[in-house]
Amino acid sequence: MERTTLLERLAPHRGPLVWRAGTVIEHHQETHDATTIVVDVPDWPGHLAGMHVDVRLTAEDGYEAQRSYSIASAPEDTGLAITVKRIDDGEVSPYLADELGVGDPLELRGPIGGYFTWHLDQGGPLLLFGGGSGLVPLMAMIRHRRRESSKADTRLLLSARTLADVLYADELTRAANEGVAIHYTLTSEISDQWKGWTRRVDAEMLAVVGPPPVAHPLIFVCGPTPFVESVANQLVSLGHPPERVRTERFGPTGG
Amino acid sequence: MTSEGFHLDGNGIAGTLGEIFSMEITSAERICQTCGTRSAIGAHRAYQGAGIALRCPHCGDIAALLGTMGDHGRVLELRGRWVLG
Repeated sequence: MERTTLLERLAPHRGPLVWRAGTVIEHHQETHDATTIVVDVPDWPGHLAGMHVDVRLTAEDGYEAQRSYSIASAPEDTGLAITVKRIDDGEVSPYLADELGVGDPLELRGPIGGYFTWHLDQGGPLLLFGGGSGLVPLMAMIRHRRRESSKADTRLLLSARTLADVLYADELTRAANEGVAIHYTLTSEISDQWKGWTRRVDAEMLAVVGPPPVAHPLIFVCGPTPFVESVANQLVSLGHPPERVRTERFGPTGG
Repeated sequence: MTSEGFHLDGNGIAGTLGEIFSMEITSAERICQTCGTRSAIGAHRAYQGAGIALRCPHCGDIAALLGTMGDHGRVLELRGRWVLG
């Protein structure tokens, strides 16, 4: 109930989900296959870090395609940001990445969710696990922490294929300088320059990242289903209560 | 169907469920009719095909089915005990 109350307080005008016509105010390449799109949405009711939106494209013949994207921006930020990974044979992401531009309309509805969300009032320690673009909703949490000048104990373990696949790399470096403990494992990185972890998340990594269950961290795990299941199961085996381990699963790694 | 950008859990279909429920549904919980475990709707696994199947994250049994069925139009079947709070 506490969570519902918080949600209602933060987004008092949250009525039924309606489609809104937003306008793209920023569109930039994030990595070789990811694009960040910032949208100005009139009458946006506000959101909590971790929520998502549904995006709908309608073709001239009336055909509709709809996708769900995590919100990357903090509740305090101007404009609503999503980061879209381009899937070459996808129906929606090539359009969002290649054709959409500043000034174009974009139809979306939200905010959606309430389970996979974090607000400062929930405190820490905050323990975040991101697999690939599963970083996006976690980034909203890190940005929220920063915008509120919070010193909450926050730790992130990011699993990505290579260094070039890491989203928001510069911002993560800055977050690390501002007290967020950030660890990387790069499962396909072959550069000699990379001296860090190159394997899937395991017990040894979890011990290094911490904190232990006795610290009662609030845990968010987001990424492809195998990543989420593996990490969540290991955390519960370590003794973290299942209700403290919140999960969000994406489609296959290509997703 | 492509796998592009799909959320494969209760969080990802919350927009669609939001067309039916007026409340925020991902933080509601469900007690499974088969294994008896209690989990947030957001933690349930979702499978999208012609319709949507939502399954218990523990035993995999059906939690909800949503789709269209002939003359009936949209059809929703809920299983287990949904604790809406």
